[in-house]
Amino acid sequence: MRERVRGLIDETGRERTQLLEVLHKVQREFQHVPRAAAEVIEHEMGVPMADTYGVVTFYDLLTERPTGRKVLRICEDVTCSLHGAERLAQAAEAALGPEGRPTADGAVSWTRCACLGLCDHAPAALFDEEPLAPVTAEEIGKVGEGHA
Amino acid sequence: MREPVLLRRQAAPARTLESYRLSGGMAGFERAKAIGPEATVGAVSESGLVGRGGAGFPTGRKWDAVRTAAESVRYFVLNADESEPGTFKDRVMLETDPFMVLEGVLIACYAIGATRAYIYVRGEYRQAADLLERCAGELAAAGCLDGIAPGGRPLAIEVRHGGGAYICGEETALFRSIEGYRGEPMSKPPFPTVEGLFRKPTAINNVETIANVPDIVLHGGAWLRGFGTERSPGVKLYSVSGHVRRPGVYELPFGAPLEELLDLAGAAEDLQAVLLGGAAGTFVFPRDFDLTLSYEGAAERHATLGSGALIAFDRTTNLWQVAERLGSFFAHESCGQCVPCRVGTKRQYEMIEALAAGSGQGSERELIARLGQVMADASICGLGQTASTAVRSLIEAEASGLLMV
Repeated sequence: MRERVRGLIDETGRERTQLLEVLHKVQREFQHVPRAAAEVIEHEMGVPMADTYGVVTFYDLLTERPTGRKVLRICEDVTCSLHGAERLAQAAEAALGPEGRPTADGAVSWTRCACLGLCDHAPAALFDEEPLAPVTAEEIGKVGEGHA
Repeated sequence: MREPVLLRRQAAPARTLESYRLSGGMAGFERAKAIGPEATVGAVSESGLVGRGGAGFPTGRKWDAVRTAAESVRYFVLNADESEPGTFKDRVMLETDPFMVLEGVLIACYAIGATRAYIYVRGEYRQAADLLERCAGELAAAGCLDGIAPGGRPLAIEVRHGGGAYICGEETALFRSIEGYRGEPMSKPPFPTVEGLFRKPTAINNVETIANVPDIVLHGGAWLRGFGTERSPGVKLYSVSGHVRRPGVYELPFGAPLEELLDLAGAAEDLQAVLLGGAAGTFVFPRDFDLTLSYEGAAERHATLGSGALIAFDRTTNLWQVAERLGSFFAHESCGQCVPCRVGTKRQYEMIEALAAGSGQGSERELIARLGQVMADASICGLGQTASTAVRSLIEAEASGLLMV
Protein backbone atom coordinates (compact mmCIF):
# COMPACT_ATOMS: atom_id res chain seq x y z
CA MET A 1 0.00 0.00 0.00
CA ARG A 2 2.86 2.37 0.85
CA GLU A 3 4.31 1.72 -2.57
CA ARG A 4 1.00 2.63 -4.18
CA VAL A 5 0.73 5.88 -2.18
CA ARG A 6 4.27 6.78 -3.25
CA GLY A 7 3.18 6.17 -6.84
CA LEU A 8 0.16 8.48 -6.43
CA ILE A 9 2.42 11.19 -5.01
CA ASP A 10 4.86 10.72 -7.90
CA GLU A 11 2.13 11.21 -10.50
CA THR A 12 0.54 14.19 -8.71
CA GLY A 13 3.40 16.22 -7.27
CA ARG A 14 5.28 16.54 -3.98
CA GLU A 15 4.46 20.16 -3.21
CA ARG A 16 2.12 20.92 -0.32
CA THR A 17 -0.34 22.49 -2.76
CA GLN A 18 -1.04 19.01 -4.17
CA LEU A 19 -2.10 17.59 -0.79
CA LEU A 20 -5.84 17.63 -1.47
CA GLU A 21 -5.39 16.08 -4.92
CA VAL A 22 -3.16 13.34 -3.46
CA LEU A 23 -5.68 12.68 -0.68
CA HIS A 24 -8.53 12.46 -3.21
CA LYS A 25 -6.58 9.75 -5.04
CA VAL A 26 -5.74 7.89 -1.83
CA GLN A 27 -9.40 8.04 -0.82
CA ARG A 28 -10.50 6.72 -4.20
CA GLU A 29 -7.99 3.85 -4.08
CA PHE A 30 -8.43 2.76 -0.44
CA GLN A 31 -11.88 4.25 0.38
CA HIS A 32 -10.25 6.15 3.25
CA VAL A 33 -6.97 7.80 4.18
CA PRO A 34 -5.18 5.20 6.29
CA ARG A 35 -2.61 6.17 8.88
CA ALA A 36 0.09 4.50 6.81
CA ALA A 37 -0.74 6.79 3.88
CA ALA A 38 -0.34 9.83 6.15
CA GLU A 39 3.09 8.45 7.12
CA VAL A 40 4.13 8.15 3.50
CA ILE A 41 2.82 11.66 2.81
CA GLU A 42 4.87 12.99 5.72
CA HIS A 43 7.98 11.25 4.43
CA GLU A 44 7.53 12.10 0.75
CA MET A 45 5.84 15.51 0.89
CA GLY A 46 7.00 16.81 4.25
CA VAL A 47 3.43 17.35 5.45
CA PRO A 48 3.19 16.53 9.18
CA MET A 49 0.80 13.69 9.96
CA ALA A 50 -1.14 16.01 12.24
CA ASP A 51 -1.74 18.33 9.28
CA THR A 52 -2.96 15.49 7.10
CA TYR A 53 -5.29 14.41 9.91
CA GLY A 54 -6.56 17.99 10.15
CA VAL A 55 -7.20 18.18 6.43
CA VAL A 56 -8.87 14.75 6.20
CA THR A 57 -11.26 15.52 9.05
CA PHE A 58 -12.08 18.94 7.58
CA TYR A 59 -13.37 17.79 4.20
CA ASP A 60 -16.53 15.68 3.86
CA LEU A 61 -15.22 13.74 0.85
CA LEU A 62 -12.21 12.44 2.78
CA THR A 63 -12.61 9.91 5.58
CA GLU A 64 -10.50 8.28 8.29
CA ARG A 65 -12.55 5.08 8.21
CA PRO A 66 -13.28 3.03 5.11
CA THR A 67 -16.40 3.82 3.14
CA GLY A 68 -17.85 1.33 0.68
CA ARG A 69 -16.06 1.02 -2.68
CA LYS A 70 -18.91 3.16 -3.91
CA VAL A 71 -20.61 5.83 -1.83
CA LEU A 72 -24.25 6.79 -2.18
CA ARG A 73 -24.81 10.38 -1.05
CA ILE A 74 -28.40 11.38 -0.45
CA CYS A 75 -29.08 15.11 -0.44
CA GLU A 76 -31.11 16.16 2.58
CA ASP A 77 -31.07 19.87 1.89
CA VAL A 78 -34.01 22.24 1.54
CA THR A 79 -35.29 21.45 -1.96
CA CYS A 80 -34.70 17.70 -1.77
CA SER A 81 -36.43 17.61 1.62
CA LEU A 82 -39.52 19.13 -0.01
CA HIS A 83 -39.39 16.26 -2.50
CA GLY A 84 -39.09 13.39 -0.06
CA ALA A 85 -35.39 13.09 0.80
CA GLU A 86 -36.23 11.45 4.11
CA ARG A 87 -38.02 8.58 2.34
CA LEU A 88 -34.86 8.02 0.29
CA ALA A 89 -32.75 7.86 3.44
CA GLN A 90 -35.14 5.30 4.89
CA ALA A 91 -34.93 3.25 1.70
CA ALA A 92 -31.13 3.40 1.87
CA GLU A 93 -31.12 2.29 5.47
CA ALA A 94 -33.41 -0.61 4.64
CA ALA A 95 -31.34 -1.70 1.65
CA LEU A 96 -27.80 -0.97 2.83
CA GLY A 97 -27.90 -0.84 6.61
CA PRO A 98 -26.88 1.97 8.93
CA GLU A 99 -25.61 5.26 7.51
CA GLY A 100 -21.83 5.33 7.08
CA ARG A 101 -21.26 1.59 7.48
CA PRO A 102 -20.21 -0.33 4.35
CA THR A 103 -22.21 -3.41 3.33
CA ALA A 104 -20.69 -6.75 4.41
CA ASP A 105 -18.98 -7.19 1.03
CA GLY A 106 -17.54 -3.66 1.31
CA ALA A 107 -19.22 -2.62 -1.95
CA VAL A 108 -21.44 0.26 -0.90
CA SER A 109 -21.98 2.70 1.95
CA TRP A 110 -24.43 5.57 2.12
CA THR A 111 -24.54 8.95 3.77
CA ARG A 112 -26.77 12.01 3.97
CA CYS A 113 -25.20 15.14 2.56
CA ALA A 114 -25.71 18.86 2.03
CA CYS A 115 -27.00 20.37 -1.24
CA LEU A 116 -25.50 18.61 -4.27
CA GLY A 117 -26.47 21.37 -6.69
CA LEU A 118 -29.00 19.09 -8.40
CA CYS A 119 -32.10 20.87 -7.08
CA ASP A 120 -33.58 21.13 -10.59
CA HIS A 121 -33.89 17.33 -10.53
CA ALA A 122 -34.84 16.87 -6.87
CA PRO A 123 -34.82 14.59 -5.00
CA ALA A 124 -31.19 13.94 -5.78
CA ALA A 125 -28.45 11.53 -4.87
CA LEU A 126 -24.92 10.98 -6.07
CA PHE A 127 -23.72 7.40 -6.57
CA ASP A 128 -19.97 7.70 -6.62
CA GLU A 129 -19.60 10.36 -9.28
CA GLU A 130 -22.84 9.76 -11.09
CA PRO A 131 -25.90 11.89 -10.30
CA LEU A 132 -29.12 9.97 -9.69
CA ALA A 133 -31.68 12.72 -10.08
CA PRO A 134 -34.55 12.55 -9.71
CA VAL A 135 -34.26 9.30 -7.82
CA THR A 136 -36.98 7.11 -6.29
CA ALA A 137 -36.94 4.96 -3.17
CA GLU A 138 -37.15 1.89 -5.45
CA GLU A 139 -34.03 2.95 -7.33
CA ILE A 140 -32.21 3.51 -4.05
CA GLY A 141 -33.25 0.00 -3.07
CA LYS A 142 -31.79 -1.38 -6.30
CA VAL A 143 -28.40 0.15 -5.51
CA GLY A 144 -28.32 -2.19 -2.53
CA GLU A 145 -29.32 -5.36 -4.38
CA GLY A 146 -26.85 -8.18 -3.81
CA HIS A 147 -24.85 -6.19 -1.26
CA ALA A 148 -26.85 -6.34 1.94
CA MET B 1 -38.96 36.85 -26.57
CA ARG B 2 -35.57 38.21 -25.62
CA GLU B 3 -32.62 36.14 -26.85
CA PRO B 4 -30.73 34.63 -23.95
CA VAL B 5 -27.17 35.86 -23.42
CA LEU B 6 -25.46 33.52 -20.98
CA LEU B 7 -27.76 30.59 -21.74
CA ARG B 8 -27.67 30.92 -25.51
CA ARG B 9 -25.99 27.55 -26.07
CA GLN B 10 -28.27 25.66 -23.71
CA ALA B 11 -30.35 24.20 -26.52
CA ALA B 12 -27.26 23.05 -28.42
CA PRO B 13 -24.33 22.81 -26.01
CA ALA B 14 -20.88 23.40 -27.53
CA ARG B 15 -18.58 20.87 -25.93
CA THR B 16 -15.83 20.93 -28.53
CA LEU B 17 -13.66 23.89 -29.47
CA GLU B 18 -14.73 23.51 -33.07
CA SER B 19 -18.44 23.71 -32.32
CA TYR B 20 -17.78 26.60 -29.94
CA ARG B 21 -15.95 28.52 -32.67
CA LEU B 22 -18.66 27.75 -35.20
CA SER B 23 -21.23 29.29 -32.88
CA GLY B 24 -19.25 32.51 -32.58
CA GLY B 25 -16.92 31.57 -29.74
CA MET B 26 -13.37 32.88 -29.13
CA ALA B 27 -14.10 36.22 -30.82
CA GLY B 28 -13.93 38.03 -27.47
CA PHE B 29 -10.53 36.51 -26.78
CA GLU B 30 -9.23 37.58 -30.19
CA ARG B 31 -10.58 41.07 -29.53
CA ALA B 32 -8.84 41.20 -26.13
CA LYS B 33 -5.49 40.35 -27.73
CA ALA B 34 -6.07 43.05 -30.35
CA ILE B 35 -6.87 45.84 -27.87
CA GLY B 36 -4.39 44.82 -25.14
CA PRO B 37 -4.70 44.19 -21.40
CA GLU B 38 -5.39 47.75 -20.28
CA ALA B 39 -8.26 48.32 -22.69
CA THR B 40 -9.63 44.87 -21.85
CA VAL B 41 -9.79 45.71 -18.16
CA GLY B 42 -11.21 49.10 -19.17
CA ALA B 43 -14.09 47.46 -21.04
CA VAL B 44 -14.92 45.25 -18.06
CA SER B 45 -14.83 48.26 -15.72
CA GLU B 46 -17.00 50.32 -18.02
CA SER B 47 -19.57 47.53 -18.28
CA GLY B 48 -20.34 47.77 -14.58
CA LEU B 49 -20.04 43.98 -14.20
CA VAL B 50 -20.09 42.92 -10.56
CA GLY B 51 -19.46 39.49 -9.04
CA ARG B 52 -22.38 37.08 -9.44
CA GLY B 53 -21.36 34.70 -6.66
CA GLY B 54 -23.16 36.74 -4.05
CA ALA B 55 -20.82 39.50 -2.91
CA GLY B 56 -21.33 41.81 -5.90
CA PHE B 57 -17.85 43.36 -6.02
CA PRO B 58 -16.98 45.26 -9.24
CA THR B 59 -14.99 42.89 -11.47
CA GLY B 60 -13.10 45.64 -13.29
CA ARG B 61 -11.79 47.10 -10.05
CA LYS B 62 -10.54 43.68 -8.98
CA TRP B 63 -8.77 43.12 -12.28
CA ASP B 64 -7.25 46.57 -12.35
CA ALA B 65 -5.76 46.13 -8.88
CA VAL B 66 -4.09 42.88 -9.91
CA ARG B 67 -3.02 44.15 -13.32
CA THR B 68 -1.21 47.12 -11.79
CA ALA B 69 0.26 45.21 -8.81
CA ALA B 70 4.00 45.49 -8.36
CA GLU B 71 4.42 41.71 -7.94
CA SER B 72 5.28 39.85 -11.13
CA VAL B 73 3.73 36.54 -9.99
CA ARG B 74 -0.04 36.83 -10.16
CA TYR B 75 -2.84 34.30 -10.21
CA PHE B 76 -6.30 33.95 -11.57
CA VAL B 77 -8.74 31.65 -9.79
CA LEU B 78 -12.10 30.53 -11.12
CA ASN B 79 -14.45 29.86 -8.23
CA ALA B 80 -16.56 26.91 -9.33
CA ASP B 81 -17.15 25.70 -5.77
CA GLU B 82 -20.87 26.25 -6.08
CA SER B 83 -22.35 24.92 -2.83
CA GLU B 84 -24.97 27.44 -1.73
CA PRO B 85 -28.13 25.41 -1.06
CA GLY B 86 -30.56 25.79 -3.93
CA THR B 87 -27.87 26.99 -6.35
CA PHE B 88 -27.00 25.05 -9.51
CA LYS B 89 -26.59 27.71 -12.22
CA ASP B 90 -22.80 27.35 -12.38
CA ARG B 91 -23.09 23.60 -12.91
CA VAL B 92 -25.49 24.20 -15.79
CA MET B 93 -23.16 26.86 -17.28
CA LEU B 94 -20.14 24.57 -17.00
CA GLU B 95 -21.93 21.58 -18.49
CA THR B 96 -23.62 23.36 -21.36
CA ASP B 97 -21.08 26.04 -22.30
CA PRO B 98 -17.69 25.12 -20.84
CA PHE B 99 -15.76 27.01 -23.51
CA MET B 100 -17.53 30.30 -22.85
CA VAL B 101 -16.38 30.05 -19.24
CA LEU B 102 -12.85 29.08 -20.30
CA GLU B 103 -12.72 31.90 -22.85
CA GLY B 104 -13.55 34.27 -20.01
CA VAL B 105 -10.73 32.72 -17.99
CA LEU B 106 -8.25 33.23 -20.86
CA ILE B 107 -9.30 36.87 -21.22
CA ALA B 108 -8.99 37.45 -17.48
CA CYS B 109 -5.53 35.87 -17.34
CA TYR B 110 -4.34 37.87 -20.32
CA ALA B 111 -5.79 41.10 -18.93
CA ILE B 112 -4.26 40.82 -15.45
CA GLY B 113 -1.01 39.17 -16.54
CA ALA B 114 -1.61 35.94 -14.63
CA THR B 115 1.19 33.42 -14.56
CA ARG B 116 -1.19 30.55 -13.82
CA ALA B 117 -4.91 29.89 -13.61
CA TYR B 118 -6.58 27.59 -11.12
CA ILE B 119 -10.07 26.25 -11.66
CA TYR B 120 -11.48 25.10 -8.34
CA VAL B 121 -14.51 22.88 -8.91
CA ARG B 122 -16.53 21.49 -6.03
CA GLY B 123 -15.66 17.84 -5.46
CA GLU B 124 -19.24 16.69 -6.08
CA TYR B 125 -19.16 18.16 -9.62
CA ARG B 126 -16.73 15.51 -10.93
CA GLN B 127 -18.38 15.38 -14.36
CA ALA B 128 -18.14 19.14 -14.82
CA ALA B 129 -14.51 19.08 -13.65
CA ASP B 130 -13.62 16.32 -16.11
CA LEU B 131 -15.32 18.24 -18.92
CA LEU B 132 -13.39 21.43 -18.05
CA GLU B 133 -10.13 19.51 -17.94
CA ARG B 134 -10.77 18.05 -21.37
CA CYS B 135 -11.79 21.43 -22.81
CA ALA B 136 -8.74 23.16 -21.32
CA GLY B 137 -6.64 20.43 -22.94
CA GLU B 138 -8.28 21.17 -26.27
CA LEU B 139 -7.49 24.87 -25.91
CA ALA B 140 -3.86 24.04 -25.10
CA ALA B 141 -3.58 21.67 -28.08
CA ALA B 142 -5.01 24.36 -30.38
CA GLY B 143 -2.35 26.81 -29.19
CA CYS B 144 -4.86 29.13 -27.53
CA LEU B 145 -2.83 29.29 -24.31
CA ASP B 146 0.42 30.20 -26.05
CA GLY B 147 1.84 33.61 -25.35
CA ILE B 148 -0.87 34.73 -22.93
CA ALA B 149 1.23 34.63 -19.76
CA PRO B 150 3.75 37.40 -19.03
CA GLY B 151 6.90 37.22 -21.11
CA GLY B 152 5.03 35.51 -23.94
CA ARG B 153 4.95 32.18 -22.11
CA PRO B 154 2.07 29.75 -22.39
CA LEU B 155 -0.58 29.98 -19.71
CA ALA B 156 -0.88 27.01 -17.35
CA ILE B 157 -4.40 26.01 -16.33
CA GLU B 158 -4.88 23.62 -13.42
CA VAL B 159 -8.20 22.07 -12.47
CA ARG B 160 -8.50 21.41 -8.72
CA HIS B 161 -11.16 19.40 -6.93
CA GLY B 162 -12.83 20.64 -3.77
CA GLY B 163 -13.16 18.38 -0.77
CA GLY B 164 -16.83 18.84 -0.03
CA ALA B 165 -16.82 21.94 2.18
CA TYR B 166 -19.25 24.83 1.68
CA ILE B 167 -16.84 27.24 3.31
CA CYS B 168 -14.34 26.80 0.46
CA GLY B 169 -16.56 28.99 -1.70
CA GLU B 170 -15.29 31.83 0.49
CA GLU B 171 -12.32 33.16 -1.43
CA THR B 172 -9.60 33.05 1.23
CA ALA B 173 -10.74 29.58 2.35
CA LEU B 174 -10.58 28.48 -1.26
CA PHE B 175 -6.97 29.70 -1.48
CA ARG B 176 -6.06 27.73 1.66
CA SER B 177 -7.64 24.68 0.11
CA ILE B 178 -5.59 25.03 -3.09
CA GLU B 179 -2.48 25.53 -0.97
CA GLY B 180 -3.13 22.17 0.72
CA TYR B 181 -4.66 23.20 4.04
CA ARG B 182 -7.97 23.13 5.86
CA GLY B 183 -10.29 25.63 4.23
CA GLU B 184 -10.27 28.20 6.99
CA PRO B 185 -10.96 31.80 5.91
CA MET B 186 -8.53 34.58 6.72
CA SER B 187 -9.32 38.05 7.97
CA LYS B 188 -9.48 40.75 5.31
CA PRO B 189 -7.63 43.00 4.63
CA PRO B 190 -5.28 42.15 3.04
CA PHE B 191 -7.63 41.53 0.14
CA PRO B 192 -6.88 38.86 -2.47
CA THR B 193 -5.90 41.45 -5.07
CA VAL B 194 -2.97 42.35 -2.78
CA GLU B 195 -2.25 39.05 -0.99
CA GLY B 196 -4.26 36.17 -2.39
CA LEU B 197 -3.27 32.67 -3.42
CA PHE B 198 0.27 31.86 -2.16
CA ARG B 199 0.19 35.47 -0.85
CA LYS B 200 0.43 36.81 -4.41
CA PRO B 201 -1.99 39.24 -6.07
CA THR B 202 -4.96 37.18 -7.20
CA ALA B 203 -8.16 37.84 -9.10
CA ILE B 204 -10.90 35.38 -8.21
CA ASN B 205 -14.23 35.29 -10.04
CA ASN B 206 -17.37 33.21 -9.99
CA VAL B 207 -18.30 31.09 -13.02
CA GLU B 208 -21.30 33.23 -14.01
CA THR B 209 -19.30 36.44 -13.67
CA ILE B 210 -16.58 35.18 -15.96
CA ALA B 211 -19.11 33.89 -18.52
CA ASN B 212 -20.11 37.53 -19.10
CA VAL B 213 -16.60 38.55 -20.06
CA PRO B 214 -16.22 37.34 -23.68
CA ASP B 215 -19.28 39.33 -24.83
CA ILE B 216 -18.27 42.42 -22.87
CA VAL B 217 -14.83 42.48 -24.46
CA LEU B 218 -16.16 41.71 -27.93
CA HIS B 219 -18.97 44.29 -27.92
CA GLY B 220 -17.46 46.88 -25.58
CA GLY B 221 -18.37 47.87 -22.03
CA ALA B 222 -21.47 49.80 -23.05
CA TRP B 223 -23.03 46.59 -24.41
CA LEU B 224 -23.74 45.13 -20.96
CA ARG B 225 -25.46 48.37 -19.96
CA GLY B 226 -28.00 47.65 -22.69
CA PHE B 227 -29.50 45.13 -20.23
CA GLY B 228 -30.74 45.64 -16.72
CA THR B 229 -30.95 48.76 -14.61
CA GLU B 230 -28.60 51.69 -14.24
CA ARG B 231 -27.21 50.40 -10.96
CA SER B 232 -27.34 46.70 -11.90
CA PRO B 233 -26.33 46.35 -15.55
CA GLY B 234 -26.61 43.03 -17.34
CA VAL B 235 -28.48 39.79 -16.90
CA LYS B 236 -28.63 37.36 -14.00
CA LEU B 237 -29.02 33.62 -13.76
CA TYR B 238 -31.48 32.24 -11.23
CA SER B 239 -31.62 28.69 -9.94
CA VAL B 240 -35.29 27.99 -9.26
CA SER B 241 -36.49 24.91 -7.39
CA GLY B 242 -39.02 23.77 -4.81
CA HIS B 243 -42.75 24.01 -5.43
CA VAL B 244 -42.58 25.02 -9.08
CA ARG B 245 -43.63 23.05 -12.15
CA ARG B 246 -40.51 23.85 -14.19
CA PRO B 247 -37.47 23.94 -11.93
CA GLY B 248 -34.30 25.05 -13.69
CA VAL B 249 -31.96 27.90 -14.50
CA TYR B 250 -33.54 31.10 -15.81
CA GLU B 251 -31.91 34.19 -17.20
CA LEU B 252 -33.47 37.63 -16.74
CA PRO B 253 -32.17 41.15 -17.15
CA PHE B 254 -31.80 42.92 -13.82
CA GLY B 255 -34.91 44.85 -12.94
CA ALA B 256 -37.45 42.16 -13.82
CA PRO B 257 -40.06 41.60 -11.12
CA LEU B 258 -39.81 38.51 -8.94
CA GLU B 259 -43.31 37.58 -10.15
CA GLU B 260 -41.98 37.17 -13.69
CA LEU B 261 -39.42 34.64 -12.52
CA LEU B 262 -42.09 32.76 -10.59
CA ASP B 263 -44.29 32.68 -13.71
CA LEU B 264 -41.44 31.40 -15.88
CA ALA B 265 -40.80 28.54 -13.50
CA GLY B 266 -44.45 27.74 -13.11
CA ALA B 267 -44.75 28.48 -9.43
CA ALA B 268 -47.91 27.45 -7.62
CA GLU B 269 -50.52 30.24 -7.56
CA ASP B 270 -50.76 30.30 -3.80
CA LEU B 271 -47.16 30.23 -2.66
CA GLN B 272 -46.54 30.82 1.01
CA ALA B 273 -43.05 32.23 0.52
CA VAL B 274 -39.76 31.86 -1.33
CA LEU B 275 -36.24 31.66 0.03
CA LEU B 276 -34.25 34.12 -2.06
CA GLY B 277 -30.44 34.04 -2.09
CA GLY B 278 -29.84 30.58 -0.68
CA ALA B 279 -29.13 29.57 2.90
CA ALA B 280 -27.62 33.00 3.55
CA GLY B 281 -30.63 34.73 1.97
CA THR B 282 -34.03 35.75 3.30
CA PHE B 283 -37.59 34.48 3.15
CA VAL B 284 -39.72 36.68 0.90
CA PHE B 285 -43.52 36.62 1.22
CA PRO B 286 -46.25 37.37 -1.36
CA ARG B 287 -46.61 40.99 -0.22
CA ASP B 288 -43.07 41.50 -1.59
CA PHE B 289 -43.37 39.42 -4.78
CA ASP B 290 -43.44 42.67 -6.77
CA LEU B 291 -39.84 43.38 -5.78
CA THR B 292 -37.52 44.04 -8.69
CA LEU B 293 -34.70 41.55 -9.10
CA SER B 294 -31.70 43.85 -8.95
CA TYR B 295 -29.13 44.50 -6.25
CA GLU B 296 -30.86 47.75 -5.28
CA GLY B 297 -34.37 46.36 -5.69
CA ALA B 298 -33.67 43.46 -3.33
CA ALA B 299 -31.96 45.73 -0.79
CA GLU B 300 -35.02 48.00 -0.77
CA ARG B 301 -37.04 45.09 0.67
CA HIS B 302 -34.23 44.01 3.03
CA ALA B 303 -33.62 40.97 0.85
CA THR B 304 -30.60 39.86 -1.15
CA LEU B 305 -30.18 38.21 -4.52
CA GLY B 306 -27.13 36.34 -3.25
CA SER B 307 -26.16 33.75 -5.82
CA GLY B 308 -29.61 33.96 -7.44
CA ALA B 309 -31.08 30.89 -5.75
CA LEU B 310 -34.84 30.78 -5.34
CA ILE B 311 -36.65 27.98 -3.52
CA ALA B 312 -40.44 28.18 -3.56
CA PHE B 313 -42.70 26.89 -0.76
CA ASP B 314 -46.42 26.23 -1.01
CA ARG B 315 -48.91 26.70 1.80
CA THR B 316 -48.37 23.21 3.19
CA THR B 317 -44.70 23.80 3.97
CA ASN B 318 -43.69 24.29 7.57
CA LEU B 319 -41.13 27.07 7.21
CA TRP B 320 -39.74 26.39 10.66
CA GLN B 321 -38.70 22.99 9.38
CA VAL B 322 -36.97 24.73 6.49
CA ALA B 323 -35.22 27.02 8.96
CA GLU B 324 -34.21 23.97 10.98
CA ARG B 325 -32.58 22.48 7.90
CA LEU B 326 -30.72 25.76 7.28
CA GLY B 327 -29.63 25.88 10.92
CA SER B 328 -28.28 22.36 10.70
CA PHE B 329 -26.48 23.26 7.47
CA PHE B 330 -24.64 26.22 9.01
CA ALA B 331 -23.74 24.30 12.17
CA HIS B 332 -22.24 21.55 10.02
CA GLU B 333 -20.47 23.83 7.55
CA SER B 334 -18.95 26.28 10.03
CA CYS B 335 -15.19 25.73 9.75
CA GLY B 336 -14.88 26.01 13.53
CA GLN B 337 -12.07 28.52 13.46
CA CYS B 338 -13.73 31.48 15.17
CA VAL B 339 -15.85 31.24 18.30
CA PRO B 340 -18.88 33.37 17.32
CA CYS B 341 -19.57 31.13 14.34
CA ARG B 342 -18.47 27.76 15.75
CA VAL B 343 -20.55 28.13 18.90
CA GLY B 344 -23.16 30.50 17.51
CA THR B 345 -24.28 28.28 14.65
CA LYS B 346 -24.65 25.33 17.08
CA ARG B 347 -26.69 27.30 19.65
CA GLN B 348 -28.78 28.80 16.88
CA TYR B 349 -29.52 25.34 15.49
CA GLU B 350 -30.62 24.07 18.90
CA MET B 351 -32.99 26.99 19.34
CA ILE B 352 -34.48 26.62 15.87
CA GLU B 353 -34.91 22.89 16.53
CA ALA B 354 -36.86 23.70 19.68
CA LEU B 355 -39.04 26.22 17.84
CA ALA B 356 -39.67 23.80 14.97
CA ALA B 357 -40.67 21.10 17.47
CA GLY B 358 -42.89 23.52 19.34
CA SER B 359 -40.92 22.98 22.52
CA GLY B 360 -39.45 26.45 22.81
CA GLN B 361 -39.29 28.24 26.15
CA GLY B 362 -40.44 31.58 24.80
CA SER B 363 -37.08 33.32 24.81
CA GLU B 364 -35.63 31.72 21.66
CA ARG B 365 -36.76 34.33 19.15
CA GLU B 366 -35.14 37.19 20.97
CA LEU B 367 -32.00 35.16 21.70
CA ILE B 368 -31.66 34.17 18.03
CA ALA B 369 -31.84 37.84 17.05
CA ARG B 370 -29.19 38.83 19.59
CA LEU B 371 -26.96 35.88 18.79
CA GLY B 372 -27.32 36.63 15.09
CA GLN B 373 -26.13 40.17 15.67
CA VAL B 374 -23.06 38.88 17.53
CA MET B 375 -22.27 36.47 14.70
CA ALA B 376 -22.75 39.23 12.14
CA ASP B 377 -20.45 41.58 14.06
CA ALA B 378 -17.74 39.21 15.20
CA SER B 379 -17.36 36.35 12.72
CA ILE B 380 -14.30 36.27 10.48
CA CYS B 381 -16.16 35.54 7.26
CA GLY B 382 -19.49 35.69 5.53
CA LEU B 383 -20.65 32.29 6.77
CA GLY B 384 -21.08 33.35 10.38
CA GLN B 385 -22.01 36.87 9.36
CA THR B 386 -25.05 35.67 7.41
CA ALA B 387 -25.92 32.43 9.25
CA SER B 388 -28.92 33.99 10.98
CA THR B 389 -30.23 36.16 8.13
CA ALA B 390 -32.86 33.68 6.95
CA VAL B 391 -34.16 32.69 10.37
CA ARG B 392 -34.35 36.31 11.47
CA SER B 393 -36.44 37.13 8.40
CA LEU B 394 -38.69 34.21 9.35
CA ILE B 395 -39.12 35.50 12.90
CA GLU B 396 -40.14 38.91 11.56
CA ALA B 397 -42.61 37.35 9.13
CA GLU B 398 -44.10 35.24 11.88
CA ALA B 399 -44.63 38.34 13.99
CA SER B 400 -46.46 39.90 11.04
CA GLY B 401 -48.72 36.83 10.80
CA LEU B 402 -47.45 35.66 7.40
CA LEU B 403 -46.86 31.98 8.18
CA MET B 404 -49.50 29.50 7.01
CA VAL B 405 -48.48 26.42 8.97
